[in-house]
Amino acid sequence: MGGRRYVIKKVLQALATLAFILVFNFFLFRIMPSDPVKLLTKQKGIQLSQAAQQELIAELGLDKPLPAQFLTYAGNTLRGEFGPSFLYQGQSVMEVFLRALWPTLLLVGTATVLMTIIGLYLGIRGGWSRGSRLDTGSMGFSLLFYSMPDFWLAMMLLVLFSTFLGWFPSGGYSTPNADITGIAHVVDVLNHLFLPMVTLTLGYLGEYYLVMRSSLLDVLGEEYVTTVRAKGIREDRVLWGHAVRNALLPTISQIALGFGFILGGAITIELVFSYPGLGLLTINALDSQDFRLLQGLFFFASVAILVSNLAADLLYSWFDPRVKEA
Amino acid sequence: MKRRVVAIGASAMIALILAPAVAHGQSSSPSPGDEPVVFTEGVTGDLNSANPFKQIDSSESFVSSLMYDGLVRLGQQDYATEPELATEVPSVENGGISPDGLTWTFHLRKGLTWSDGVPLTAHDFVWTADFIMSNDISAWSDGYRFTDSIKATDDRTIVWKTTRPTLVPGLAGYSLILPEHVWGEMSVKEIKEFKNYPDPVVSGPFNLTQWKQGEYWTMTSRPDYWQGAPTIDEIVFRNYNSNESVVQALLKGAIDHTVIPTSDLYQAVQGRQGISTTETSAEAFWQLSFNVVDDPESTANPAVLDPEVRKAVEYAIDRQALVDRVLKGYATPGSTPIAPVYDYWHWQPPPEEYRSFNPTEANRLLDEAGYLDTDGDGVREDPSDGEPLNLRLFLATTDPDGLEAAPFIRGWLDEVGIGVSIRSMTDAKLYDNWYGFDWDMILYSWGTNPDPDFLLSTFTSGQCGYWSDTCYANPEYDRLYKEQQTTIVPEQRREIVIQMQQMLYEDSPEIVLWYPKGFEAWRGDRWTGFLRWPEPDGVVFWGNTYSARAVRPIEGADLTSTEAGPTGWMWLLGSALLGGGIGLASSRRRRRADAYYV
Repeated sequence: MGGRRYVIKKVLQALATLAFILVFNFFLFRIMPSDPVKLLTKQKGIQLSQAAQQELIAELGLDKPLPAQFLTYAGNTLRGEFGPSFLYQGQSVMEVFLRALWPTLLLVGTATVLMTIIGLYLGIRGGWSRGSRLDTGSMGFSLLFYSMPDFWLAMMLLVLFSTFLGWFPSGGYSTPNADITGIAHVVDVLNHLFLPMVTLTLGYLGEYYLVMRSSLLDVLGEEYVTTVRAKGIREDRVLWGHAVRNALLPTISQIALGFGFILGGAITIELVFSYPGLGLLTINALDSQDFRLLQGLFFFASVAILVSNLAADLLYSWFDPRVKEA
Repeated sequence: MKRRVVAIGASAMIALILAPAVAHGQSSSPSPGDEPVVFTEGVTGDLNSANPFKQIDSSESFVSSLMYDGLVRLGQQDYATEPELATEVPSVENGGISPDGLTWTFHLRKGLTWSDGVPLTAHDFVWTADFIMSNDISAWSDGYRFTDSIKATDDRTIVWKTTRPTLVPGLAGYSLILPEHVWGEMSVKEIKEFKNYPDPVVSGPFNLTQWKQGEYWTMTSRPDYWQGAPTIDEIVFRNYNSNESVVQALLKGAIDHTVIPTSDLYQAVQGRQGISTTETSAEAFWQLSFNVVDDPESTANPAVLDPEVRKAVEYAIDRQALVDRVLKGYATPGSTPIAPVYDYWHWQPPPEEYRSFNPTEANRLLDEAGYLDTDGDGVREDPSDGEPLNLRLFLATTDPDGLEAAPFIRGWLDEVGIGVSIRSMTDAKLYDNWYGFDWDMILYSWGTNPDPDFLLSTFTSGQCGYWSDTCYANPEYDRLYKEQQTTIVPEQRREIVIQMQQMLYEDSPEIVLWYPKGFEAWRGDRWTGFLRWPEPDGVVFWGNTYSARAVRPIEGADLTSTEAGPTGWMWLLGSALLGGGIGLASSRRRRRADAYYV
């Protein structure tokens, strides 16, 4: 009973947040200090007559009062219509978003999986044998990369492995014009994916490592672990069967958030490796003041985080029933 | 034991990392002779549209110039207007322009066809012109000013009547010809949304054959092109998203040519193995504009309305120091908006009139204008209200050269008793201030084109709120502007253009600070045959259709892509080693654990 109420409460909270995001997202782009029409006309070297400017304003729906604009916007957003992009002329925001979605899912998705697995594993091993060479080594390793600016790490890897050694391509999602399909195509995509993925994994490994390690250390100090050990259970089972199970709890929200951020893309890394994902799209939209596209991107990114938070809450209560009572 | 795990893991990683090197070694075998010859250009600006009506950036105009020929063009040698699809450039002497200057007649070459084999006729030109004029297509409407009517009297003859004598019909690059049999089938709305891809029907030397937005686009040469097939088969334009990445790609050989945006990067690629570099002529200019608008909403310090104060500012600025220290010498000190590369049109103030660095003269002018430092705080005061002479200097955060130059300017103006506060902001915010007349001085830049008409128009009073930087208004200037537009004898027009530049220099609504050089870099170890446009120091490749048609690989150069990565087998081997290493390590750990706790 209590469980169902908890779920309903969490879902309702998420819906309320969604409503807030909708409103916020609308007004955020209305208070930006710029007039899109003027920007389009001056910056891009287009000369428009007054009549043509009025027409453009009407076309963008900017001539209507704010409340009316909001209603149109809310309705369209819920139906998944974000209107045409200014920057990518003749294409809808949705089309542009979907085009950049797959590369980002691939890049940030695989990197998140990798950093989770490696980070948690090193965290568990490090926490289990605190002070060992493995522990100090992986601590130094992950903190070193974690504290590095990721664009710099990306640049260094690019210079070393692409320019200097020539092992990997210089950027992009796949080889231009290559008429290849099947396995060869997969390998080609993998080659382009490798360096940005490694950068991202190295750069954020530390987060998972540290959370897992300290959480495990907390658990290892608990009396039940001593009890389990006293019972003569094998050390491996003490670790994996008893300690890690409980220590994993705090990492759930970390992991869920990590996946939530996927839709934000990896802006700096996509920039350095010219990887055509959502991060890059955000930069381009920002540069060219394509506020419809930005609005759509912000909306998708916030919804992804919202959903992953909800997932974290629900998983948490499933893994640890005590949460529901709280 | 634990050390062992790490060691095995590490060796697997090393194997994984080394594997591609081996693979790369294998894949760089020389390419067979029938491989297409591909030239790869690195670009930082995406192609946003292949519809010429939608073109906004330099990527789009380059693509459009590769896809569509015009009636006339700017010659490769010296920018002189020469015929392209037309048989000759109309003039009064050859009868192409009527004696009253109101009727232009163009004859098309014989046997022209579109890429789909349909003949290219005068009717295509008329259709395109009519569409642009009746739908106010802003990117192109400039090319049809003062047009009364454009008619095709037969398949090869275009008769262009204007409402007054003008040179506009003869300007290269201003008019467009699209195939009526494709575009004419669509409604206005459909045309405005038309992607013009795949399979565009074109008249130029290259056609757009592949296009993945955000990644690359490919222009394939047309073997049946009327001026002869280009020497290369394809130009691939690869998108890079940071200036540093595109430079790395060039050093690596992933691309063959790119435009280098800053002097720092230019110096970084100079002298690198296989790389050729060059500076291109300084066509753009950076300027310090003054808010001289006559508008009650203007928040400008009244001092900038005084031409003597503006001249004092110019005297206080050391342009040569800006060129040397900010531009690292890759620029020319500025004078008028028509850059000296266009030497036919440029007016250079004689030394006695040129306001070069002279703080004494600046102080004298300010003293004379009544701006004195009465309270001894180092800043002069306005004689009318006693307010200190503080000016705001705005610029865009996206402009690295400007950001470096601004503190110099503040320092020099400080020396002559003018206080300056610098604020850098986003383009959007800058435009807001600009159009809201909420500024004193702005540091910004302009690109230019060979015909001075457009740049001169930006100083006419009618452009306030559109293209005008300063809202400079001078009825005499406006009159001269119209007069140069309707003067069809080039020498007479030149006289007027020079007079206009003199007027601008005297009134000084903006100070032209410097003309920066452009930079290009390419794989000189692989490619040759570039044609500078114009000779001797114009652009090498970007925007240059002459080079696009003439560039060719150096005999015996290895054009194999350096972009090959690890092969599938190497990935398989690498993952197997890694997986095996982890498996081995954990099984040993388990065995060891079992030994202890059984």
